[in-house]
Amino acid sequence: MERRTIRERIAEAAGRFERLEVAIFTSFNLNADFFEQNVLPALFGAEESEPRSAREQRVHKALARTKVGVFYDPSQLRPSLAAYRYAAYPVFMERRLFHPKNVILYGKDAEGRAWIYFAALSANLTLSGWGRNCEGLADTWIHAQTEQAAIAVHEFVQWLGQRSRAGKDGVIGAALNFFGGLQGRRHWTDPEGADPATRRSVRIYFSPQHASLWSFLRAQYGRIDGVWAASPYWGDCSRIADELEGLPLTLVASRGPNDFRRSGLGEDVLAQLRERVTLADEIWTWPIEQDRFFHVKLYEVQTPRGDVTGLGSCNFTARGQFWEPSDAGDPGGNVESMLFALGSSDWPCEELPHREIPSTSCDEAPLPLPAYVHVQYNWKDGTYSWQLEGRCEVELRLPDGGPPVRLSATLRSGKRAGELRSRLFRFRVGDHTFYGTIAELSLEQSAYAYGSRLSHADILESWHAGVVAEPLPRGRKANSGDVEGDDEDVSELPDVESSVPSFDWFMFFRGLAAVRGALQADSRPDQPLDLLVARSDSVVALATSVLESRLPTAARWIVTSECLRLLGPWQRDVPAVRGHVRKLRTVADQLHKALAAELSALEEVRRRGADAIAIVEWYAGRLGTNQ
Amino acid sequence: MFLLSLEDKSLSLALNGRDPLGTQAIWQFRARDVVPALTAASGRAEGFQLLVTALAWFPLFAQRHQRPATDLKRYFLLVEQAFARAWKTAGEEDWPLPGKRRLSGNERGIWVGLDPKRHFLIDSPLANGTWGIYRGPLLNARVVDTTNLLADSGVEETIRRATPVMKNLFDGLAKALREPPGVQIELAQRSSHSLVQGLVEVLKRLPSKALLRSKLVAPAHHPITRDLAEQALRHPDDPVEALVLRALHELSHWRVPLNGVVRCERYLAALDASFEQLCALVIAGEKDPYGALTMDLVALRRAQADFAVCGSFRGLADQRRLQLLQAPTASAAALGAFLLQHHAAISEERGSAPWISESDNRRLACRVEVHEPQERQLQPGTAWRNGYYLDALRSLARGVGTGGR
Repeated sequence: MERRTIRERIAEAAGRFERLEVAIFTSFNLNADFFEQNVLPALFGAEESEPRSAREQRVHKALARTKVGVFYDPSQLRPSLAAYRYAAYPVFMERRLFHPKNVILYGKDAEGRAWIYFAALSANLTLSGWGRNCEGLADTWIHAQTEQAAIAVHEFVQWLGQRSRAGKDGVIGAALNFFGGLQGRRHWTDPEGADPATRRSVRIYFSPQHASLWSFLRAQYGRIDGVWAASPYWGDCSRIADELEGLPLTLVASRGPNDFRRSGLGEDVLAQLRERVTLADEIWTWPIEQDRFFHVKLYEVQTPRGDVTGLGSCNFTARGQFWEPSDAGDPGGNVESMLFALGSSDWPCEELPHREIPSTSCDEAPLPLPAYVHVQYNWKDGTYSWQLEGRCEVELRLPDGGPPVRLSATLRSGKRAGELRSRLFRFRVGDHTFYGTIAELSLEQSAYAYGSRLSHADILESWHAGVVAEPLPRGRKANSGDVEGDDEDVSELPDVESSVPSFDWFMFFRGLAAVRGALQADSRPDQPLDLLVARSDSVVALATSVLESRLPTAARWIVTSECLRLLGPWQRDVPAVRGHVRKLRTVADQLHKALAAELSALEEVRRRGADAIAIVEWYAGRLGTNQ
Repeated sequence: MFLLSLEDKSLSLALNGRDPLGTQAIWQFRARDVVPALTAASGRAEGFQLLVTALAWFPLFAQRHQRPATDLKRYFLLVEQAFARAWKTAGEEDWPLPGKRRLSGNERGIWVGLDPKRHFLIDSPLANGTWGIYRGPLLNARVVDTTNLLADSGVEETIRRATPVMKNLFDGLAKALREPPGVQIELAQRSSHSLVQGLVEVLKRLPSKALLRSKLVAPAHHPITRDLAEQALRHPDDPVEALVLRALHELSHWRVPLNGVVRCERYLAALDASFEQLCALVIAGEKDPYGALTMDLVALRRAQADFAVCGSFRGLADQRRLQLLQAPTASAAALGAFLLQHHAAISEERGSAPWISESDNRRLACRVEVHEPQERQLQPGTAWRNGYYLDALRSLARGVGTGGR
């Protein structure tokens, strides 16, 4: 079996898209900081040698044009430090876990053909998953609506939209629309040059679409004659033993993760299986690789059509393999996913010494949350909405500074307007406090200023130079000389590009003309999005920088108004502009009033009995800001 | 495709290199005692050669084609593309400077343009490419002045004489600067073209080797740098710690600055490791994470005393040094509480959320994934994590030599 890093493989696949439109990730654990610092840069082609600020800026920019969504189990979230424009949706299933690990990419290749890249992994979106553990990845390219893989992915994405309450918003809507653009038949070589015949036997399993892993395999490949199974966790195998009754079964157990002198497979499970299946005499394990935990879940199934290999998230447990409940008290299994294809490969296994088999197995069984509140923030109308799942009484605290909300079986949902000040909310069930992240809807209309910002002087210098190369912020507090992380030591350099203390109006108006010219040149379809919103020196970035500065009210009002004049006409063609226009209009109105107030307070104005409001209106008319 | 994953060590580095205690400013200041000009990423002689060659020719180019001084950066972006595409067209191995990913397609020939998506080698090339990485060290070494031109006209003339191929670029570059950014200018097609051969030859022959050596690897006013570069080349597999310790033994006349580095590093590395251990203990659900820190406090006390006399500092480095000298060594609990509070202050200063903080019920919660450091990293006698730019020095010395005696 081939050995690569997960990052290398995902970066390679993503690099095959000329235009990456949608990226969906699913994971049980989500370490959002890890995802932002490692996975997103790999997705968007950042080179390892790039400094952190450059990687971040590249990601911010790419996120303005590629919709990215991450679906995860809310019991396992570690929120991030920085805000990026991607959607994170918790998927709560009462008494079940959301456990699939997938990467699904939608886009067009260099010839303009639509492709979906699908990967099933055993790795979560964490440092352990992508970095330290030994994990598995199986992937395929999907091109035709009629393929089983295409249909399975499409239905799963619909299911994700419903379960996460994202509906058809953002990433889900874009993915569903994309499916409609796939062609009917499979006949192209994939973007990596593989013949369509190599994809013919590929089948994708999503547990909510089937009663069990085994019923899926029988439906797709026919009778099962024998099974090899590798799993890090084992437990509760009576249902599996019933399902595989009489069949030859060979097991590959992992050592660790806590004690590498013991396997996760114990005598309890072996005894349970021996009663019903023909268990191979030898138990196998993976070779020792510097205490790396083999978290891979790998199956090889003998069928009349040949050996079928499968890889993904299904542990060798009833919860991992059966979706349907066994009886009324059983909540059913986890949400899981696997990719299967005809063929077998060498598993680098060795015999597990008997002394390493403990009496009881290691069954990873983290507890699902007792209840969950789906909280969403819709950028379109600036409202929070919430929906309780579960049968508890819950006190919800939103980050808008408003009063707590009490939820119960009779009052499960609600809505209120407010500002999104943080993406974290809290809810209390009994004596326990839990945290959740707010899912953002209509994210393309978000008015949030993402990423570290340039000074307005840097932006004007860039505009003045023709907006050719995009400057980067040097650190979070560039003036302190303190750079975070692996950025270069620039603290002692004479800074030839440092900001000037005042606002250069000549540069500003010339720069505006340069940006207008670049917008009219229309050399690339993404040009307006880049210049207006996405780049570090965009029009929105200038407005934000000026509004955060200590420039006089009049200066901030004029700059805001001019930026609005540039942004306004693009609202229809560039949805990302809309939220900013709304926000800037509000700010411009406030500045307008503040300016009138400042004028009326002037001794000279008062003495002459002049009408300050009329003066400001007169100037506004002359500047064209009333348009 | 089915695959089993290999360990991805650079992922771990990315998360671990984020300076939660603000020690970077301190070690970087101390590093200037041994490597005065280089930065961590500026280890390729080709990068310096490309930049000084482009800068040496710009005044003449601007004069001949009547281009304003403000065209310098755009001119450089075009020159950089020409060199990179010549390298690719000539069938050389991977492009050694930033941008190799976009050169991996099938297109051959030299073409240049100013459209960021279609022509640039990399996003944000001025910050992130050869200009951004190699200009800083040249400024530090006073090879380039603050107007971004070569500081010495004699040097400029010498470089021009050694790189006449650059003149052949002029017309194409001028055209690219005149046209709208979307226009692509073709300069050469085949690998046998003299422009392709000439540009590649500049990077392979490195005609400014002597200049780079004298300014960056073996500066006359800073002889320790040359001695360390020679030491690094003699022991190419030595990691930075071994290199410094060996030099301390073999280059005893540099005992004072090298001791400064060791004393600085042992203390900082141990504190950073201890903070990571605190995070790892919190993640693991340890009830008393402060008490579970395994720092040898007697050794830490000694390291702190050594750190106090590891040399003078200024500005932010000095401010941070004074803060870290306050770390209590009486108990693990006190040390843990100090690290947490210091990290909170650093985070606040930077306007970012802390990695670790107290939640409502006064329990600690960690927001990033951190693995427990190895025991060796946790002890002040053996801890080491920072590079002091010695890797870049070794790498550059490999390219330009040390002028060894």
